Amino acid sequence: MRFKTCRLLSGNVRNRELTIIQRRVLRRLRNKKRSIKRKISPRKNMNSYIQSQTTRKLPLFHADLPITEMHRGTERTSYIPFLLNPETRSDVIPVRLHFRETIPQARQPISHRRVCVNNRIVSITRLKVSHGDLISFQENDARIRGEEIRRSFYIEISVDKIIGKFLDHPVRMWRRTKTEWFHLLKTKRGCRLLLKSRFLQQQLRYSMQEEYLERTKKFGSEKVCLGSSFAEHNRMKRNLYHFKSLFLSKRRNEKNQDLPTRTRSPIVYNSSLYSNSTYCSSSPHPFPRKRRIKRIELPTHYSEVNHRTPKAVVFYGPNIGHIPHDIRLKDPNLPLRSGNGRGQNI
Amino acid sequence: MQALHRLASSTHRVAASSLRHGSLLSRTTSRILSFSTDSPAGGGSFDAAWESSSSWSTGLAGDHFNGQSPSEVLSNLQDTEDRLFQLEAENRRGKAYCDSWRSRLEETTVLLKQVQEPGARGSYLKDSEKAEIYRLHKKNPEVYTVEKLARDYRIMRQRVHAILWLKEIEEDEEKKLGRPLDDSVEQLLDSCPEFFNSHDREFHVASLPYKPDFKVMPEGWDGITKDVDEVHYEISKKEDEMLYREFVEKMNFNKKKMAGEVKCHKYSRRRPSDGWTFTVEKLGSSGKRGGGGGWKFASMPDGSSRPLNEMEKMYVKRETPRRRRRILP
Repeated sequence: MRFKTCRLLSGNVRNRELTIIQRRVLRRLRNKKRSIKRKISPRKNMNSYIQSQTTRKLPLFHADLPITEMHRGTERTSYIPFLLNPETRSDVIPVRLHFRETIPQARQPISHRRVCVNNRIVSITRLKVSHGDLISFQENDARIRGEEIRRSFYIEISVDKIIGKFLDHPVRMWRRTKTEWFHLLKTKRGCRLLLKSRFLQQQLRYSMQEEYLERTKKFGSEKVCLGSSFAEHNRMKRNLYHFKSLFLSKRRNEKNQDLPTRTRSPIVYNSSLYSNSTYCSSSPHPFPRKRRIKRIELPTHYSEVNHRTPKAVVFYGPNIGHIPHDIRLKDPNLPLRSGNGRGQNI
Repeated sequence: MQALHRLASSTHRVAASSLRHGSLLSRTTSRILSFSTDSPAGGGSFDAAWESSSSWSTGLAGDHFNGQSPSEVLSNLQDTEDRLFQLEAENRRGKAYCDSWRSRLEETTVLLKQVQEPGARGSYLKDSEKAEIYRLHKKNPEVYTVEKLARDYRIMRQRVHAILWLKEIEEDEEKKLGRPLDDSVEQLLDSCPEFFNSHDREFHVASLPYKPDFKVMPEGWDGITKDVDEVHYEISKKEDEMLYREFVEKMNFNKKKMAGEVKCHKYSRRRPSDGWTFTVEKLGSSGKRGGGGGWKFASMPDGSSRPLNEMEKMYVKRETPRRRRRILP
């Protein structure tokens, strides 16, 4: 019976007059399709949706995290929803505190039962840390982790991100090669040497300050200061004009009185006023700033870190959203919040 | 500056020469006076006047015939000198303004950061300042309270608590270890804060939903409404108090947990040998419990009763559900 029904459905079914049996079969098929539609789960709860949204939003939170590392390992790992308060997870906070570099690296000590929250061993990477909690390592691992943290701070900050940018310039810093610095920074003596170096203190800090001030000017600092500076500039120009005219008239009188003339003009001295100011001239240091040195984020707005004993206390929250403040988020559906007080995603 | 000094010295020289002319003039007038006093005496004095030197040799006539008088020359020199001094003062002021440009720009940077991040502290809190906070609080905890330290150093009260807790732990570990711990990272952070991007907060700023808030006002309403910033400030203050209270409660409980006063393991939760201690709650006048009027006490195994101690009060407080709006940063 069923076999015969299937054979009779050949050709264009809609344009032909159907028999009773054919109508019954089509009705059953339509009902089946409706039931299939009715049983489909909501889109937000699908794993593929969560995965795609996570991949889309991860660069906003973890700009340095390579996405491919998420999919390495078991499939279950990649389906963990990062969107639910990512900053309070026990695997994200060590990355923010610079105890670990990436989130997969931060998960390893947690699963190996080395991380403690309030002096209790935790082995759950999804644990939500609340404000008032103390994050630390086990006593056996604390010394080793402290050394690793110091090494990562010095090597990451000094050699990789900062000194490496000036490789094409003859700097006195490079009496030692990069490898020698890597080897030297493993000890406290090397760290002290680096801190006392003149290159780091005088030139590099100055260039970082200059860069920061230059970046500030883009936010409209000139609009704030231009009024007073413009009036001052006009006054100085008028002053210079009067001085010049007076000097010329005085010189004419001196020729009549047969007095000895001066060899140096005060106008030359007056022009030095402009060369000394930051507003009118560029930086005196000759380093070209082609590549921007990226500053390292510190989580000082929601956690207090002590690097001697590598421990941290989360003091602000809950629902902490650490968003880099130079990102402009315009999607109203994003659950992220910006730093302004109105909650707008500008 | 050297040119100005030379100009000033030349003006002094001109003034000195004019002074000499003045002295000669005074001598000439004195001689004329002597001649006039001798005239009523007789012809002898008249003959002596003819023997005196002529005024052509003194140079005064030459100045007169050139068209310039000494007073005019002096006044011109004085005006020139005054203008020079004025211009020099203005130059000095302009130079000071130019030199202070960098500090003014840094101040503007701090202000702009506070505009972008409301509630932000202007600078990075250094480890030396944290050590000072701990030292002050330990020396005199009644005077240097948490609120005072938070206000003085412009940080949140929660952060002061965290700093004190971590410094205490550090001190204990140093005593246990017998030598100071490694402070290389702290030295790097203190000496080179330009390499880091810190977002230290001074106070909590509430995140309000961005939507119009229309209300139906009563007929007798006089039209007075609160300022939006004032409302925002009040909401932020309330939220900050809530967050601070919750933080203190959680921190105190965690401290007791770390000290071992909170029993969690199944062996420590066994029935004591002398029997259980029960917590009994007496209902209030309207038959309600909890905040509605009831109060609790502990019933001992021997039949007596006693009020709750601090730990039991803390447990009771933690049992109470806290319902509040979700606070976003």
